[in-house]
Amino acid sequence: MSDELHELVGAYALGAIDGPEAEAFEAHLETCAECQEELFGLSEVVLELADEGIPEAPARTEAAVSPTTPVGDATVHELPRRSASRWLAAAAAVAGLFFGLWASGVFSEDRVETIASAADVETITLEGESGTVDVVLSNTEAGVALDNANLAALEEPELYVLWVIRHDGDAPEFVGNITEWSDVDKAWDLSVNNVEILAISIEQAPSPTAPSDEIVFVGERRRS
Amino acid sequence: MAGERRQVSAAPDADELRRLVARIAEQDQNAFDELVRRTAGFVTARCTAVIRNRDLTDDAVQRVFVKVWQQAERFDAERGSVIAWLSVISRNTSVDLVRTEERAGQRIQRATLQMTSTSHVLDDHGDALADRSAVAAALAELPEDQRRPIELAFFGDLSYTQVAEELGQPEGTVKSRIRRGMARLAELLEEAR
Ligand SMILES: [Zn+2]
Repeated sequence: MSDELHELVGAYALGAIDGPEAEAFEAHLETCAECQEELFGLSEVVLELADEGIPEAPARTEAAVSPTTPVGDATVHELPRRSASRWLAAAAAVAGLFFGLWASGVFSEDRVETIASAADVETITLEGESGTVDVVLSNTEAGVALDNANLAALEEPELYVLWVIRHDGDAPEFVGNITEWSDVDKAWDLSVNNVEILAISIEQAPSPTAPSDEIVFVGERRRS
Repeated sequence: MAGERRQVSAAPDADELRRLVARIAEQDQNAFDELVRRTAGFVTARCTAVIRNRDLTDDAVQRVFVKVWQQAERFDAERGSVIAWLSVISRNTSVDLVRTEERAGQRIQRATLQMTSTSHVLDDHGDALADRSAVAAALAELPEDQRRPIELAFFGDLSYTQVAEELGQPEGTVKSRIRRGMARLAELLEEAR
């Protein structure tokens, strides 16, 4: 049985196993150093394959041995074509993101504290139908933080998203998801020098690239 | 990029990973950074295998590491496998995210499968070989009986059992060919560096 489970490592790496069998393999993986090593070693292949996406149709389809016929009712997730290095860069960016967050203490309350106590801190009160949300920002700390105490709980997949508009007429820029996994107030690293308007919208996870119509809080920065 | 690639392919020492997670359980942020750096590629690959959508994958990877931070103290730092643990969290998180996505009515854009063999594209455009990605070149070097199942599974979004049905081959055979083909692809990519 164990030998059979070793054999699953390739299919598991590709995500080509259904739930129950994936769980059986994961139970095996827990104790099999060989499969752990092998699975880890296949990371790059998976990322490169994802990068490859759907092979482009050949110029002369007739020349292809495998014609462009649908296989059963199978569907495929359309992947953007991008270089594998970019996938890896994205993975590294995640690492960098966390690195930066830790470095700045975002996961502790320190960062909120740092921004809130900066010499040039500004408090902007965002107004909405259900009340107000205070946002603090600091040019020198290059950060924005908010007190999420007044945000009513949402049901998944809904979430609050913070946006900024830098100049009147510019498209809103995504700042961050205001999720509930952290009890601490939220803070983000952001160059805020030219931010003019801040807004919070309710979105469906995952966050979109532009806010929906459901802006629930909005506030304008008073220019000094 | 070379440095990052190496990080992805060389499996970190299991004991070292356990020690990192033990330190994360103590809220050690440096240990967390280190774990992210060593395993972000792996976690991205695990999420990609389930999701196959760039934007959602980024979201999933972040959620995985948030769970790592939150759940580190529940990890058995004496005997547990960090790779297996990350793998389970990645799959569960990705599956949940896809479901959430579907519930939200924002289905991943799906296209009818046009299963065209990469290697035949290469045959047709031999001159363009150098321009093709390393993985396309590697796929082209695989024996047909290993390449087809991998392409069907990954690009066709089929489980290996569905691939077996599609190809009219025994499941065990397909399973083994996928494993051998994937191992060979890893070698070829390594050589191509
Ligand atoms: Zn094994």
